[in-house]
Amino acid sequence: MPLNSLPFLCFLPLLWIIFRFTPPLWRWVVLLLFSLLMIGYFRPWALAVVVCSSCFTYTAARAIPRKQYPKLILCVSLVLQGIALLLLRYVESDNSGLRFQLQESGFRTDTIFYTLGFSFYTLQHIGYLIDVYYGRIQAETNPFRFLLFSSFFAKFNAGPLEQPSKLLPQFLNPNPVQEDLSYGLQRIVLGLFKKMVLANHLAPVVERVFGNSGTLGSLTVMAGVMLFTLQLYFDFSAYCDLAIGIARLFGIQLSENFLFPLFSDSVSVFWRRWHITLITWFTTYIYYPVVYRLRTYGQAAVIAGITLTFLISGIWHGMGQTFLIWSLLHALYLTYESLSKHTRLGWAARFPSTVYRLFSMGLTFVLVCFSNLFFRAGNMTQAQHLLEALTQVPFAHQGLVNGFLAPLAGGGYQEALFNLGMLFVFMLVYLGAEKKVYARINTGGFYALQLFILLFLILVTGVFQKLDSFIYLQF
Amino acid sequence: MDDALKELNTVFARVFRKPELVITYNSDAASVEGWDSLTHMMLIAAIEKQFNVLFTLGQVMHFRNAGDILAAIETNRT
Repeated sequence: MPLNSLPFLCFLPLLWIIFRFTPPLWRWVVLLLFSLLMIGYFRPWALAVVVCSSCFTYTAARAIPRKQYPKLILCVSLVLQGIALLLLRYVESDNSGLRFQLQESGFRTDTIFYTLGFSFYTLQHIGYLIDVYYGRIQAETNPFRFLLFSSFFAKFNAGPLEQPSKLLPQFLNPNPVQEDLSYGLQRIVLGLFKKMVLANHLAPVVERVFGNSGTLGSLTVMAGVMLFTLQLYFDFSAYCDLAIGIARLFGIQLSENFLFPLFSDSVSVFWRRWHITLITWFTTYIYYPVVYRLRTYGQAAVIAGITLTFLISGIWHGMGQTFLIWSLLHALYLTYESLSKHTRLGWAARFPSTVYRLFSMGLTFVLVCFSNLFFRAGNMTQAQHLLEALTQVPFAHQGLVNGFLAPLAGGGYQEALFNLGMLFVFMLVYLGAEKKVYARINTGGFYALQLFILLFLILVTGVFQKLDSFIYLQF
Repeated sequence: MDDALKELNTVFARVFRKPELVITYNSDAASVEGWDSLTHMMLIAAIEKQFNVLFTLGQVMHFRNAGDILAAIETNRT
């Protein structure tokens, strides 16, 4: 059940009351039972998978320090987890039987064994086993508490990816205070605002561009690709706001996943601010080990580490050429930034800092948007159509309104154009105020006016249809 | 500034191409411009060569500042 679905949000206060009246030492049991209920009620198959996967990881982690061949146990466990990930994500069925789906990208949920959240908690299990093997953490002794770590309802569907050493101790004695409730409530409302007022309004605009790529002009496609980047940000960061806010109501602190990434002045800074927990996982378990082993080769080691890391990240997001190109583009951007670091510092010293920073931010945004063309395109044919459209002369046959705005707005009527204009106003005002909004919430205070404005906008302008379809639930 | 820190300073200055760079025990990625995951391992390789030590991956991943690096150099030498 998604975190913003109406049944869940209605049931949440009841859960919280049960949780509050349970002795602190047993509250984790309430969280576990509710997490399992939430997964199993709608997807019994997903419940079976998370229980089996957690039992397997728990047993392997307990065996690693005790048995004679810890490396063998680790390797076998990692290989089995990897095979399970490939099977559950990419094997599909048709009349001729099972087959491995390699052709198209990952925007799909029709694989035969599709189980929500699996690719997220599998990464956490892999990281946990590696950490236990290297002695960075002790293996968890309580199998049910480990199951809660895997299935905790606030983060189960799409993260944030958590480290057991950070999350497991919090389950021992969760005791939310008034500040937690105030913080959690404000993050939840902010998440609903971003999802219902911004992301859900952007979704049809983006769909019009990606669904009609062969007939649109260059500026429209360019705007559509940029708007997709904004939609992805609002959608996924809204999901994370909900996850963090809901967890906080129960006294659990989850990791931040976004840190104003749209204002990054380089792609490497962007990756330190976008989907932070995933990139931290890839940096810790893939990039650093690869570069460490090759470190005597200097820059070549860094380039090899970046390329391998993004290739695996691309495969994790989806099998297919579009994700391959997306990952290679980011590897290319970061390789360039790594090689040109000193040159760019020299350029920065020659220009006024504000001008250079604004230019760098604009360029970074354009580069990220270009890579997202492949991230969003359903397949290579659609990506090719979009690229061809980008080379068309803008407004060749039609004016600004009919050639550019009408295809985005879904028609040239005044009402449609007005709605599109209002969406742009909301986005710009929100992005301008975003740092201030988060800063206020992070102070721990309760900002009633801010909360009221967000709630008012949700009720008046929010899109309630398809409320529960977050983009990152597909991965 | 003790000798080890001075020697470490020369490695930092060379890797980040900043002859004027002055580091302290508390210097970290936030205070040294250019010190990030893209340059971290190149810095480590240069330090290993300069001090004739070998760090483990676990040590390398837990370096938070120059003081951590100096402590690991001391540990690995003894």
